[in-house]
Amino acid sequence: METLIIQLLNGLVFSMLLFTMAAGLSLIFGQMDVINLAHGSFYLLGGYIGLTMVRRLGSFWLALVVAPLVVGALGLALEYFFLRRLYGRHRHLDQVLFTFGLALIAADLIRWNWGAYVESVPPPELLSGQIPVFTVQFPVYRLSLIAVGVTLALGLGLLLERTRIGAIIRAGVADAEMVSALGIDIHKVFAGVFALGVALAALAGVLGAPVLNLYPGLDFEILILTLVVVVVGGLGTLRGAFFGSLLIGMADTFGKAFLPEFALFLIFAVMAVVLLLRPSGLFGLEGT
Amino acid sequence: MSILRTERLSRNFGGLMAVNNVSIAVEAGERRAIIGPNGAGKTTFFNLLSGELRPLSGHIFLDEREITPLPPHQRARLGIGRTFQRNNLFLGLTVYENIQLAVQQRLGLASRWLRPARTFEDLDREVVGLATTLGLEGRLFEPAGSLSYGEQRQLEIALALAMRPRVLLLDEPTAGMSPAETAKMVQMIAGLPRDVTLLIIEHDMDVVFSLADRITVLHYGQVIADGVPEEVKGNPKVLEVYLGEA
Amino acid sequence: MAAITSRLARARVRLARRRTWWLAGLVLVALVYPYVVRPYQLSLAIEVLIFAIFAMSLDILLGYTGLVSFGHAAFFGLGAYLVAYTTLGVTNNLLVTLPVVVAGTALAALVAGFFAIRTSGIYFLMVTLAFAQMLFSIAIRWSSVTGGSDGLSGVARPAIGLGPLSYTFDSRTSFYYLVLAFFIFSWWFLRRVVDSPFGWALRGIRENEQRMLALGYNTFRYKMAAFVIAGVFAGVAGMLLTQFFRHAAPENLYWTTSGQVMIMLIVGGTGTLTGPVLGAAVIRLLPNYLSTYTDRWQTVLGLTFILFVLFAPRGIMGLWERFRQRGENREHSAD
Repeated sequence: METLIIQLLNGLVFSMLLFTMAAGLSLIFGQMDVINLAHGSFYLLGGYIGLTMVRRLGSFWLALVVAPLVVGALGLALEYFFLRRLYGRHRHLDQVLFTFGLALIAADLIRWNWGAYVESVPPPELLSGQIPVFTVQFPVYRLSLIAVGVTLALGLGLLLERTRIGAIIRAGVADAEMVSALGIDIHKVFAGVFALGVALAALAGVLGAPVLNLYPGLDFEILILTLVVVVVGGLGTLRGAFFGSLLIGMADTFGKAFLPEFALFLIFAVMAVVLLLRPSGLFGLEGT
Repeated sequence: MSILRTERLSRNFGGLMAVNNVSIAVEAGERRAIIGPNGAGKTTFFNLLSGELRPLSGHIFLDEREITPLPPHQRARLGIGRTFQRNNLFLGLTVYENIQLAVQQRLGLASRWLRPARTFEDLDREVVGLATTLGLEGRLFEPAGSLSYGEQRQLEIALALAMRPRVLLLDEPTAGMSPAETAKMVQMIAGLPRDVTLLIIEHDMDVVFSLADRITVLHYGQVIADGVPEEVKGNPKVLEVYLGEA
Repeated sequence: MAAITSRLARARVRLARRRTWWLAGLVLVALVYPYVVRPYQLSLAIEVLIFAIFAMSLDILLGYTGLVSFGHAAFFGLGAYLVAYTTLGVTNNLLVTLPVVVAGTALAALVAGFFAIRTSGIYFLMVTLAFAQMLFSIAIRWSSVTGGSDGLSGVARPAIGLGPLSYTFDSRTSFYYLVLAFFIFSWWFLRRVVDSPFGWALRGIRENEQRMLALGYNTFRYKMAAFVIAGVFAGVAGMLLTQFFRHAAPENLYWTTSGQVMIMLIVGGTGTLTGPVLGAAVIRLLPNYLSTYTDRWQTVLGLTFILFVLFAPRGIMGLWERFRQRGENREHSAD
C-alpha cells in the first residue's frame, strides 16, 4: 500500500515534468507545424545551465529564472536566423531535419562542456526534507513540483483562453494564413511561441534536475517520452498534453517500479492502443 | 435500372448541412449535369459519391449494390472515376508518369515489383495513346508541375479516363479555361463513348446545355429541380435561385 | 510524335550503355580493391558498403514513398541481435542465419508498420522513433538475453555450406567479398523495385496519396510493403555489421544510428538510391579525416547536415545534377 502511494506521487511528479515539456512541444507544433526534435536538448541545456548557476552562485531560485531566459533567447535567435528560412509548405521535412541537426550538435557540445558524468543538483534549502502524506514520508521538493505543474497548466490555459495573445495563438493554430490576413505579424508570433516553448523545456530541465539528475543521453530519453505524450494526447492541444502526460508519466513510473525490464515497452503498448482507437491522439483533431 | 443512385444522402459541416437529403438516380449511359449556385453542396456531393467524405446519413448504390461503407480506392475499382475541382496531380512526376500510374492500376500491373515498368509494352502504348487523345503528346516528359493550367486540367481528365470508369464524375472540367480551350474540352467530353455515365458539375450554362441529358439543381444542399434541360430551364424555382443571385 | 519517342528511346539506350560501362568499371575496381589497399582501408570499405545497404533501404521509405522514419535503426539493430543470438546459440551458417534475420525483421516490420502506417506525417515520424527506442530500452534492460549495455560478443564470422562442404568467411578479404556480393545484390534488387510499376506507385504515394486512392490504389498495402522491404534490407545490413565486428551492440538500435543513416541519405540525396551510397561513403569516412583536426566531429557532422538541409536539400546528387545542367547549358550556348 505504501509503495503504491509513493509510486502514485512519483508518477504525478514525473507527469508534471513531462507536461512542462509536452506543452512547449505541442504549442510549437500547433503554431508552426514544426516538431522540434531538439526539445530534449533544450531541456538538458536548461538543466546544465541551472547546475552551473547553483554551483557558482549557490542559488537554485536564480537558476530557475535565468536558465529559461537564456534558453528562450537562444530559441529566439535560432528561429530568426535559421528556422525562418524554412517556412513554407514544401519544407516541412527540412524543418524537422534542422532541429534534428541541432540536437546532434547540442548533444556533442553539452558533453564537451559539462562532461559525461552523472551530475546531481540538490533541491533548494527551503524545500529540502520530507513531510508526511497520508501514511508515507515524501520529499517536499517533489511535492512542490506537482503544485508547479498544476499551476503551470492552469496558467497556460488562462493565457491561451483569456488573453489577447492567447487568442492570437489559438487562431494561429487553426489557420496561420488567416492571422496574417488580420494584419498580425505571424513571424513575430512564431518567434514568440518558439521561444516560449523552448523556455518551458529549459524550465523543466532546471525543475527536473534534482529528481532525474543530469547526464548525456537524458536529452533523448526525455524527448522520446515527450513525443509519446503528444502522440497519445494529440498534437497542438494543451488538454492533450496534460492528460497524455498523466497517462505516460504514470505508465512509466509504475512500469519502472514493477516491470523494470519492460517499462518502455509498456509505454509503447499504451501508445499503440491509443493509435489503434484514435490515430490522431486522445484530444487530437480528426484528420490531422 | 439506374447505375448510380443515392437515397436521402446527407452530410454536415458543423451546423451547416452541405448536402441535405439528396436522392437521385442516374441511368447507365446518361449525361447528368449537377448545377447550382456557389455553396450549393455540389462538390461535397461528389466527395460523398467517390468516398472522400463519409455521409452523415443516407445510402449510395452502384448497380443497386450498396457502396456507402466502401473507402475511395474500392469505389474507384468498382468503376467510379473522378476529376477534382482544383487540379490534383502528381506535380513532381512527368505527364507520362502521371498517366502511367492510372493505367498500370487498371491493367492490374501495379503490384508487379521486380520488372521495370518501361518493359510493359501495353502500358507504354496506352499511356502514349491517352496523352495523344488529350493533346498532351508533346509534353510527355515534362513534369506535371510545369504545365499550364489548361494542360493540367487536361491531364486531370486523362488520369480519370485512364481508369476506364463506368461512372465518371467531372468537377468543373472547364473551370479557368479560355473559350478556345473550353470548346476543345467540351468536344472531347462529347466524344466520350456513350457507355460511360457522366456526372458533370459545371457553371458554364452553354457547356451544360450542350452536354447534359438531364440536369439536377442543388440549392443549399437540397435538390430543387431534376429533369431534362427544357423542364429545368422553365422551372420557376430555378429561375428564382439564379436570378435572385444575380 | 513517333520521332520524339524514338529519339528518346535512342537517348535512353545510349545512356544505359554508358551506365553499363561505368558499372562494369566500378565492379572491377571493387574486385581488385583488397589487393591494393591496407587492411585498415579494407575495413573502412566494408563499413561503407554495409551502411550503403542500410541507407538505400531507408531511401525506399523516405525517398520513394515519402515516409519519414526516424527509427530505422530498429530493424538494423534487430538484424544485429538476431544474427548474434542465432550464431551464438545455433550456427554461423548463413543458410540458417540469413533466413532468421530476413523473417524476423520482416515480421517486426509488419507489426510496427501496422501501427505506424495508420498514422502519417509527424505522427509516423514519432511512432517509428518511439518503436526503435523501445527496442533499445529492452536491449539495455533485458540483460539475461541481450547482454545489457555490453551487447553480445564473440559472434563468429559467417560460414556457408551444407554438411562437409562449407566455407567460412573468416579473413577480412573473404568477408569483404561477401559484403560486396550483398551490396551488389541489394543495389540491383532495389533498383528493380523502384523501376517497377510498384516502385512508381510508391512515388505516386509520396507525391499525392489522396489521388492514388482516387485512382483505386490501396495505399496502405503499398506503404506496408515498402516498410517491410526497407526493414528487411536494414536487418541484413545490421547482420553484416555484427558479423564483421563479431559483436551486436545496443548502439545499433539507438537513435544516433537512425540519425546517422538519415544524415547519409539527406547528404547523398533522397529518392536516387545512388545518393545514399555516396552519403554512406562521405559520412563514414569523414570522421577518419576529421579526427586528425578536431574531437568535435559530431558537431561537424551536425553542421554539415544542417548546411545541406538549408542550402542543398537534394544532397550531393542534387548538386551534381545542377553542376551537370550548368555544363550542358554552356555547351548549348557555345553551339
